[in-house]
Amino acid sequence: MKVFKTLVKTEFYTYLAYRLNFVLWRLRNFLWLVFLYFFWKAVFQGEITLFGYTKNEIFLYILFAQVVSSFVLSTATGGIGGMINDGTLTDILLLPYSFFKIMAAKEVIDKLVNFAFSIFEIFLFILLFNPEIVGVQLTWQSVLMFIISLLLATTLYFFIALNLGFIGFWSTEVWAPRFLFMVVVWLLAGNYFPLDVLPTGLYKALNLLPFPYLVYFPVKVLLGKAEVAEVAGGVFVLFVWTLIFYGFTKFLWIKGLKVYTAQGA
Amino acid sequence: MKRVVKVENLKKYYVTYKKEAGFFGAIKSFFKREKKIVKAVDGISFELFEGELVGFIGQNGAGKTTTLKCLSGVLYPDEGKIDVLGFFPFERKKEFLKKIAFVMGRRGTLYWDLPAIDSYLLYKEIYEIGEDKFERTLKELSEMLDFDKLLNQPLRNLSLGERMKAELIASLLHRPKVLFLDEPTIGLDVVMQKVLRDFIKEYNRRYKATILLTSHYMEDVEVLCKRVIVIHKGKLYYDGDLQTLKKKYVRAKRVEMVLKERVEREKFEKIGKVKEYSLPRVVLEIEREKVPDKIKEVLSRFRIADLSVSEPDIADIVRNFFLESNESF
Repeated sequence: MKVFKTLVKTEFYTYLAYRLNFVLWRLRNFLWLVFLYFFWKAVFQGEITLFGYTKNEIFLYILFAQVVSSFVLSTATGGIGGMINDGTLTDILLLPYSFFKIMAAKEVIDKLVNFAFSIFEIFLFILLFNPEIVGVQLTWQSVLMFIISLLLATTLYFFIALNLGFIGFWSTEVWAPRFLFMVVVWLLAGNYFPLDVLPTGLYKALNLLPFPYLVYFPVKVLLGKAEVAEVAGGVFVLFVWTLIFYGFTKFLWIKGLKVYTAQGA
Repeated sequence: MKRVVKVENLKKYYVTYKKEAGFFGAIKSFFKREKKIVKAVDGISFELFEGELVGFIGQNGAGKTTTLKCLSGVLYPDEGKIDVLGFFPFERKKEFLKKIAFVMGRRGTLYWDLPAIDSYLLYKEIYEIGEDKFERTLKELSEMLDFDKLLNQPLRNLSLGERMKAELIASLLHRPKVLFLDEPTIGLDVVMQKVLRDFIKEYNRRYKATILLTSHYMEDVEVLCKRVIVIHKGKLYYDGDLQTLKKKYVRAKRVEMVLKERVEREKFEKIGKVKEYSLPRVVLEIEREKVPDKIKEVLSRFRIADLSVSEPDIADIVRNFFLESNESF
């Protein structure tokens, strides 16, 4: 555990070295939030409820989705493909410490910093635009289930993102698949709208995929919009997906190392 | 002596794809790629014993680095057996990784933006080095390399030579028993090269570490290694005493002189092979046995200000070696 703490600390120092990059990334997220707000405001012109949501609920959803996705979907694994291709992975392989733990430490820092910033952004947003939102009634059950699903979703996305990085073992084209995947994830995870506004058939089909469990599901749980059975079922599916991707990650890692060429290092 | 490394018939092939030049070439290779197999290491065997400092030499692309990567567990060997300290390196067992180090002169592994000491503290935790041992080793190493005053400076502010010192300290903090050094002196000036050379020698002596070293600077090998392994295109060609290799393949000596008068080039060409002719300096290559007679001749015929005889560069020896091997292999 001490190793992990030291790693997290060291990673945090280096984080401060790439401030501009980070600030631009957060700015992009903030602009998206502003865009979504005005988009939904326009949609709700003169309406009280749409797709089973009130204006207030939609705004709440967007705000919480922003915070949740800043935690779940932020990742430090983006560099893995590059590390494999330019051979810097070698440095990690030589350490008597698990590659996964090192990545996890980077991930923790990345998530905490992103999370902190998104909270700040939300306050800034409320201050600037004064959206008409009424607070949400949180129960301890919904908060507890939210935390559980949030942690599971974070773990699931960590494994998914690792797998994306491992493409680097077999191809030098790591950015294109990653970028495409990000676009799909942001859309299907429910960053922009609650997924149940979609036609029922599509919504049900979507629920078979891992994506809705990353953002949409935890937010729904927190807002108390899900029934008890739905929450339990969702957590179970989330758990199964996490296990599947965990297995996949281990498998690809072992396969990948056998073809790793450490070129350039 | 205890055997530390045993390599048996090691093979490592890389698959690469040929890409034709130009736009249409790129399109073509998108649909149909031509496979090319590079035999980086093609069946080599050797052993290393405790406390040995062995030079691993060969031209670029000979397979030196690939072998070192297999030995340190970074690469999966396609064929053959590797045993380092009783471990199969590729498994990357914690106990194994704690006993070895692989230093690449061309690349840094430390945090660029942080002072070396921050990286060292992280390594201390990762390698589970005790407080006492860490303090002692860090003190010893940084004194040996005269690095103590630079410990708290961000790496980015250090010179190349200083960074190499930092890297060496980092990879030796856990006092590895086996050390793979890949071009540790590359790109450094002569003074810094000597500092590192002396340091490597001292580390080897003090901790009885087994070291396998590659270098482009033949002086590194000459000064440090008694035994050398020569590989070429993935195959092992020589494994043994450096002096024996030299005796066998050094058929000529270098005779360097400074003239007091002008002498035509042709006159020297009758005496030996003219390697350099830039008056007043002339360098000749003269067959080993004929050296005394030829020197006598030179001294009697021309007015000479200075004269010295030396062994040729190891690079020349290796070249001779391959010229000859290519004929017989």
